[in-house]
Amino acid sequence: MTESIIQINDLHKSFGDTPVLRGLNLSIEKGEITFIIGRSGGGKSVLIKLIIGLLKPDSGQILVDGHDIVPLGDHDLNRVRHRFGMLFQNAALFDSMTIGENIAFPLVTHTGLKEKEIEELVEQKMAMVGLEGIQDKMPTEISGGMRKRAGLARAIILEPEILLFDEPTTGLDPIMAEMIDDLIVQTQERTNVTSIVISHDIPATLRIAHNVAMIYEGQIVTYGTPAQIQASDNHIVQQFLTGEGEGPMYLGD
Amino acid sequence: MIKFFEILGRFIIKTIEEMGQLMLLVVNSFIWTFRPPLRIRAIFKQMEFVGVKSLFVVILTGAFTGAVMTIQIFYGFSMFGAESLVSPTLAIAMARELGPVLTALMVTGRAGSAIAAELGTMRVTEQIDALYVMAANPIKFLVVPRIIAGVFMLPILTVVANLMGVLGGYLVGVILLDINASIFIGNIVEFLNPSDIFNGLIKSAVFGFILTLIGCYKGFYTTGGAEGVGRATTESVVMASILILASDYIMTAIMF
Ligand SMILES: Nc1ncnc2c1ncn2[C@@H]1O[C@H](COP(=O)(O)OP(=O)(O)OP(=O)(O)O)[C@@H](O)[C@H]1O
Ligand SMILES: [Mg+2]
Repeated sequence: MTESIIQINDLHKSFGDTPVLRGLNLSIEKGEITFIIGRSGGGKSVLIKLIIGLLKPDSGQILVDGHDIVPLGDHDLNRVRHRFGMLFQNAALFDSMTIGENIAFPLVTHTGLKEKEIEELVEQKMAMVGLEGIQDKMPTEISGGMRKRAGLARAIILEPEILLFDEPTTGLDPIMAEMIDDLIVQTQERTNVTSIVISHDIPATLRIAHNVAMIYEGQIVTYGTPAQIQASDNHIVQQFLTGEGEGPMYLGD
Repeated sequence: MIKFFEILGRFIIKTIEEMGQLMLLVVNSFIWTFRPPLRIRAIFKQMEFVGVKSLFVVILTGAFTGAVMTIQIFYGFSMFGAESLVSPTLAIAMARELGPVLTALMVTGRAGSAIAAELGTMRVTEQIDALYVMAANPIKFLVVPRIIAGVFMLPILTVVANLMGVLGGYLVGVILLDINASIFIGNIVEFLNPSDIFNGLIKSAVFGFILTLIGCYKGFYTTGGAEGVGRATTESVVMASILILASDYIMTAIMF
């Protein structure tokens, strides 16, 4: 029934002597929301950066629609990147630009739209993420939660096929977090976008994910629907879901 | 002893690596400069930052240098009665060396370091990654406008420094040291070659290239958070200053 849009095969990535990913395999289903969980420093951000070509793996394949993006140069990679939108862990808004200019940036850079049309689209997306009337503020003048929502608006403005979220709700109050979660679900339902979400929020993960993948020691230790994950008898998974300090997963390194 | 060679070896490898990275940035910047569209607005913004906002310190530097040089040259020349040659000597020194070099060093401290800090911050807060993700090449968006601004603004600033140097020299020479005003100006006109000024401006364009390039380079490859940004800023000033002085020697040897 489902087909995978991204297929990752035997991915390895080290920084210096420290291996981060050690033969990771994962497939991302088209039009579904896949959550990636795992402990801090486990390589979740690294994985997402590999998927969008910000980092090159030491070995392995990343197939997007069957085409390996690992050997691609900048030019071809940019064509692939047009299909992606990404929300960075700290939003990564350009702090030399206003919020409005930030959100308009992809439109200004990649479309020939007129100023008026751009303005309308920006306003529409800002309303969608609940950020009316702060177009002219600078990123440093607004709160972390607002920055994240602005980053989200920027990520979806070109209506990409695949959205990457690096901890979209970390550091937000519960109401704001739920609002972002709902936005992720709505965007998926409305445009059938494929979403990859890194999260530490286990309840939200179990509530809105179609699939959950857990990274541990550089590999995917479990993959399945939230129900399957919860029923898993893997001790590492159980320990992570319940957040217990004791178990097979060591806290120190 | 082995330890010594290990450290030396590591140093050499790091230096070669750095040179390679720097060359790659030069080549890429060159390519992206000629790929349309040219980002005129960004270039003007950087010209304002590198040029207009450096004007004040360049005016002060030029004026004080001219004033102090006049005192020193006067001290030497008055020993054999050559006071009338103080002003052309000052003008030639300003045009060939002091104007271009001091302007470049001041702008390195002011704008080169700021470029490194800004790009470094953009690197560690993932803004540069965000540009890549949005298929916007950071070299084109960040590096090219700054380098173009440097190459065009430094000669203009140098002209200002030269003029201010002569003005500072005039005030000291004519008013304090009693050199005849028409001799002061007349001998500059007679002895200063247009090629002195022109070669100095060529130098300053090269310095403008160096200081913006190094600022961009150090910022662009920053690692290690806020501390890394601090390090990149300092390193950019040191590296750009050394390269400016070294290239000044080479260009002077070729030109004059
Ligand atoms: N550019 C880099 N250079 C060197 N090491 C890196 C780099 N990026 C990540 N690492 C290392 O890779 C490991 C995984 O980092 P990553 O950011 O992917 O963790 P994470 O799973 O996203 O954690 P968190 O949940 O805290 O965001 C960390 O140990 C980190 O220090
Ligand atoms: Mg992370």
